[in-house]
Amino acid sequence: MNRPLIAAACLMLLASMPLCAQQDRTLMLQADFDSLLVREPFPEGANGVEKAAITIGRQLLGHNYYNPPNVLFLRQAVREIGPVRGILATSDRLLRASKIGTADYSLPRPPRGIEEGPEAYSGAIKVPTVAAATDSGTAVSWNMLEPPVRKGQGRLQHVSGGCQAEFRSIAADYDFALYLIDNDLKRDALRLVSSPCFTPSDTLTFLLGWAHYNLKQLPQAREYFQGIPKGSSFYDQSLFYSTAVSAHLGDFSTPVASLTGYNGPHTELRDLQLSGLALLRDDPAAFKQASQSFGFSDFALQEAEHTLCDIYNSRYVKRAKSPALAAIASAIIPGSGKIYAGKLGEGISAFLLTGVFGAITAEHWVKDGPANWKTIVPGLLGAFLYIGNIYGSYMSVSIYNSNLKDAQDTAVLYNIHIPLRSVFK
Amino acid sequence: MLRIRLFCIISIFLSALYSSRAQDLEGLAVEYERAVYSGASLEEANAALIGKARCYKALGRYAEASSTLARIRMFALTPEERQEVLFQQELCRFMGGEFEQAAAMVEEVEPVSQDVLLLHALALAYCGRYDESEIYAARCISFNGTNPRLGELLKFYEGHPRVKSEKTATVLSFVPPLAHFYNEAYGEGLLSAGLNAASVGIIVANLVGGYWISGILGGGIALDYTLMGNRERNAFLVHKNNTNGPIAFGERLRALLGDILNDYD
Repeated sequence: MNRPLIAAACLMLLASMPLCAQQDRTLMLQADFDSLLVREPFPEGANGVEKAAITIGRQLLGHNYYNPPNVLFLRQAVREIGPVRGILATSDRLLRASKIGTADYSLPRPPRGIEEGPEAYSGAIKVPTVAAATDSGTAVSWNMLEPPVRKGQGRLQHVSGGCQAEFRSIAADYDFALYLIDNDLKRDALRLVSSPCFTPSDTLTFLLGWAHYNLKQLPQAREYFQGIPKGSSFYDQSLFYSTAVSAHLGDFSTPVASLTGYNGPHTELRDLQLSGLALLRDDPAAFKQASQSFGFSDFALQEAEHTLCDIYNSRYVKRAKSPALAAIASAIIPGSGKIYAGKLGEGISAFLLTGVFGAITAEHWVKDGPANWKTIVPGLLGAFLYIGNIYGSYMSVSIYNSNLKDAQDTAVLYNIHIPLRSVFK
Repeated sequence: MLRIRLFCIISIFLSALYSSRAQDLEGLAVEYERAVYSGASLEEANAALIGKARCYKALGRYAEASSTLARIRMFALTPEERQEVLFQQELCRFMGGEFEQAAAMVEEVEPVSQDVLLLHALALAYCGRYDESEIYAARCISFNGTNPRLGELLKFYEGHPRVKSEKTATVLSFVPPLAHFYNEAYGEGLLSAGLNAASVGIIVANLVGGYWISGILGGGIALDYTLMGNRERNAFLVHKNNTNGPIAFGERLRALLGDILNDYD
């Protein structure tokens, strides 16, 4: 008697979806694939001269190695970091924008290039990113966050929400929600736990936080994790996850107070997170204090503890590379400062181009004299590139140091985060 | 035990029914997944997955619809049901812009209806397999008998874009502007030819004037930029043509087939 009823239920269920029944032919004939076309639009705001320069640049280089193209970069750089630094930064970029110059990067298929604006030279340095890495599909990176939750969303909404059936407890759906998340059906999980028909509870709040966390919607996840009260069976897990999430969101101070007051069974994990936060805040004294209790014996934590200690040593014990030394090196041998900064391709490219202009200038100087236009023109161009390379080498080391710190910070974030999976398995 | 299970299934059914009435397709998809999770039998799980894929399809989430269909255990389906599932999977892949994957399924889905033939023709055309596409398109419009516009369709296929070869473009790029012309970029070709001629002019003028270093190094660097730039540019143009050509052709084919099928209906 069971089987026919179930079959009838499934059939009725399928038949009760007039909305889902679509005309497949209409769908095929009306699909829109415009976004799949490869296009080469000129950057917004480019004038006629700039468009012409970009067109010639495409013939000379094959495509733009950097975005925005050099000619637009010049305009932006002059406006944002001043005319002198803007021109020098552009000349450095001209030396780098070639196949040899970009050999250090794995470039995506053109016309995409390396995203780098004048801010790379302004001190407020942005790590150069490859465009293709950020626009591939719908994957959401840690930095692509949704806006914070509006007031009124969250638990209150569940009390006053639009449930037309009876309110029920999430407890019966707890395992199902975890099943959805574990099977990469995270959007379904969020849809389930966001239902207004559940009565508010710590379990529901935790599941909401957990679903948002797995969808990498960090501001919402933090809000839900922080809503778990002390004494709840989800408190420990929520506390440590909210700390990790806060750190990813750039808030390194707020979680310290909550962690300091924690006296549960995971004190070594607490100290690991406190020492990580100290490194992120650039506070070596706090790191030393927090790391005193590292036992290096807990299988789940020992690797992270070693990594944090290594980062501490390399940041505060060893000396960083010197931008001045890079500038001096490039003044003596063009390109050598770039190589010192770890940019071999850029160094070789700079050496070849400035060297060629130097040789041409020298030849005309010997044959035609210093006052001849044949000497002056290549001499001026060579000097322009030579000084630009010195400036670029100085900035490259600054960028290198900043990138190193960013890489270390990323490693810290990783190491205060990943052990949570093992601890709260 | 049986009663509990029956109760669960009926609850799920009622919940799903409520969601569908409320036009809540996301909620309905979750309820279908719950049926799978609740330990439904093979047949029930398959029916639930089909329902869930329909919801995703209606929501325009074709990649998720396709991956849901891939979870269906085919051995528990009848041959007709299996064909329908495979057709829906091919359709979802096509709609999601995964033309290669859609075309890879053509052999699996038997051409039993006009819609299947249409889908095969489009999937193959969008990934540049025009000859195979032509056969399916002809069969599609002639499904219910000879179509008077068959000749028009065959003539249309004669004008399909040619696949450009990167190797040919590379060889031609050493004689500017032949590679550009091969890629049908005539204006750019003339510009590139002018730049290359200027580079050669710098070399010749310097060498004739006795400026050996300027001629060899300066002219060499200039020629390197213009000639190698020309090569790189044409490699990109080949990629651009080979991506855009089939899509543009597919768009025109869709319009033509839509027109013919409308006339026919």
